[in-house]
Order: sequence, then structure tokens, then C-alpha cells
Amino acid sequence: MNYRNRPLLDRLAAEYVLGTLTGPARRRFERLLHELPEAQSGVDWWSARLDTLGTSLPAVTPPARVWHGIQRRLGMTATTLPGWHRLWLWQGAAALGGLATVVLAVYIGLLAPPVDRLPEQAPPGYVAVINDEATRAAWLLSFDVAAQKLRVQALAGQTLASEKSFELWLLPGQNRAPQSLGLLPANGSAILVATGLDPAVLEQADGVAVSLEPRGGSTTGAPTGPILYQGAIRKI
Amino acid sequence: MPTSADDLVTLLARCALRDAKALEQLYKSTSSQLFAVALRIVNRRDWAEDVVQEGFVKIWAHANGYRADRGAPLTWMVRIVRNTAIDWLRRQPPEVNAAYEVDEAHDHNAPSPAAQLNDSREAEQLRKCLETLDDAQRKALTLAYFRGFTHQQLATRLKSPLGTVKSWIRRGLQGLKRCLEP
Repeated sequence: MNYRNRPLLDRLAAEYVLGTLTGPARRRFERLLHELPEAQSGVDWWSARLDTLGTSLPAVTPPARVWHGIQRRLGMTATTLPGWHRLWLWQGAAALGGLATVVLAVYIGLLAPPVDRLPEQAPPGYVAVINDEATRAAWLLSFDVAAQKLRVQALAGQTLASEKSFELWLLPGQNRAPQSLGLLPANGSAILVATGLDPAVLEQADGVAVSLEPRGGSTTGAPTGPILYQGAIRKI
Repeated sequence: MPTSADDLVTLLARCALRDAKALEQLYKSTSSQLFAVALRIVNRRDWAEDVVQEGFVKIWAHANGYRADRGAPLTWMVRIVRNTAIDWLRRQPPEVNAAYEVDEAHDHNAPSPAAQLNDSREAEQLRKCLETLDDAQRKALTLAYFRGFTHQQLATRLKSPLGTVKSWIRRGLQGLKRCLEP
């Protein structure tokens, strides 16, 4: 079958969205979606139109129990164990495997001042590893609570369009909105100046996340672009 | 309070950051539209409730996969709920689908407030273009969309040969394409 044939490609995209493309033909087309931008744009075009069959139905309000059920299933109600999300993030972090942990240990070793210069009562340190989609460690963060600073090291160089920035967010947990920690360098290292970095905040946090924003960062105070990566915060 | 498409994009971005308040706002803004979709497909309130729950769990889980440059946020959510509802139906015994009555009156309702905000132009265009098709083509397309029927299931349901049904679908989609993209 010649997938470069535009009318054919469009028909397949239409039947894919409609749902009448089934079996092996559907699986072949799904593979094609990753390879051929025209296939994906055909699907987007048909979805924007056919799915208005759903968006234009007269609305029907569901009973309140539906929302309660969602909260329960996502562990968002007070009756479930606190820190559910943190657990989820920790499991993700645990799945990283040994490599990131080794890298993290080396990194902490490099960043931390020599032991003999540490004050007697050193405040606890916090670190985070942010992984890319291939679960390679992409950035390492070290929170300096005393100085209200955040050291950032980009481990693998990230590709970034010139009109975009990576923005780092603290996820404070307990249903609070994300808090911007500043812009992440695509390469090399940086020191970000932050406020409100105290141990209680970091220990309660669900972790950190990176979103793709217009150059200079979000202007709304909340993330506006896709969330690319997340990571857990660890106390050291 | 109606929520604009831009607001929904922001809410989805915050959901991707695991902001539970954002999910609650998203639910308040879109659940009645998504419940209508689920209800239309599964045709039973208790099932539709379960479908919407499952749909929102998926929306929460996949919020980071939403791309604003590829479509309106409500359309993306409708797609998730529709797929969830169709999967739900496929798990039911065949009698359930056989008993489903096609109610064409459903298809000619006034647009909902959510649709007016989010994609009124596309919705209005599609409605007009569906009117230009043959009854058989429109019925086949609507059943496929709202019931998730395959060609074979449509043939059984519409008591017509498989080839005829395939041609209704193909010509119906071609007719829509011509009408939507003059």
C-alpha cells in the first residue's frame, strides 16, 4: 500500500478517528503515525472535526459521587494515606536504577564543600534528579536551603528551540499550585536564586517538574507549556 | 462558569504537574460535557458514571501528553472519554449492543455552551455537512462514531451487505471532506 498517496492517507486517518479502521490495518497505521507527519496531521484534522460530535451534545451534569469516586481513585481525599503522590514519585525515582544514584553520589561529592569546612550543625541538604524520556538523568539539582539557592547541572545537553525556555517548578504537594524556581540551562550549570526553600516545604513537596515555556519563562505564574520531565526530591 | 479553551490548556498543564486543584477545576468545567458523551455512547447512567470516572483518571495520567498545537483541549478529552466508553461497551455481552436503538433526534440538538466556547465553528460546520449526506451514510457514520461499531458490526446492525456499508462510510467521509474543506 502506498502511504504517500495523499487521498488514501486521508481516508485511513478519517477511518482511524471514526474507529472503523480495525485489526492489522489499524496497527500499521498507528506505526505510520510516528513516522509520517502527514498521517498525524490527517488524524488531528479529522479529530478536530469528528470529535465535535461529542463536544456539541447537550451537557448533562453527573452526580457528585462521580467526582468523589475520581478523588478516591487518585488518592486525593483525606481518607487515603497522606503523601500518596510522593509515594508515586518515589516509586518512579526508585525505578531509575543504579546509574542515576551513582551519578548523583559522585555529583554530591563534587558539589559539597570538603568535610573539614562543614559547620558543626549543617542544615540538611536536598537534591533532585530529573530524568528525560529515556530515563537518563538530564539535570541534577542541589538545594542550598541556608543560602536560598539552587545549583543546577545539566548532565545531558538538551536541545531547545531558540524561542523556548525550560522552566523548573516545585510541586509543593497538598493540592497547592506549582511554584516557579526559575529557568533551567539546556547545557552546563547555573545557580538559581529562590525564596521559600525551607526544609518543611521541600520535605512535603511532591517533587519538581520541568515545563517547556516561551523564552524567558511563563508569564502567568503557572506552567503554560507541556510538562516534559519530573523528579523526586531527596534529603541527604 | 464557562471556561475558555486557553483556561483548559492551562488546567491540563497544571494537571500534568500533579496539581489536584487544577483537576477539580477541569472537572467542574468539562464533566457535564464529558458525561453527555459517555451517556450517549453507553446509554446507561450508572455505566456513564463509571466511564467518566475512568476517563478523568486517564486525563490525569496522560495530561502531560496533551499538545495544544494538535487540537482543542475539550476535543482531546472527548476523545479519551469516547474511547473509554467504547472499550466499556466492548466488554459487555453482545445483547447489549444489539438492543441499542439509533436515535437520530440526538444528532440535531442545539450546540452546548461548552461547544460554543471551544470549537463552535468546527461543530457548526460538521453539523451542516452531515446534513448534506445521504441518510444511510449519515446513519452509518453516526453509529460508528457513537457506538464504536466496526464495518462488520454496522453491516449486521443495518442489515446490509458489508461492501455496501464500507462504501457508505467511505463516501460519507469523502462527502464530509469535500464539504468541510471546499
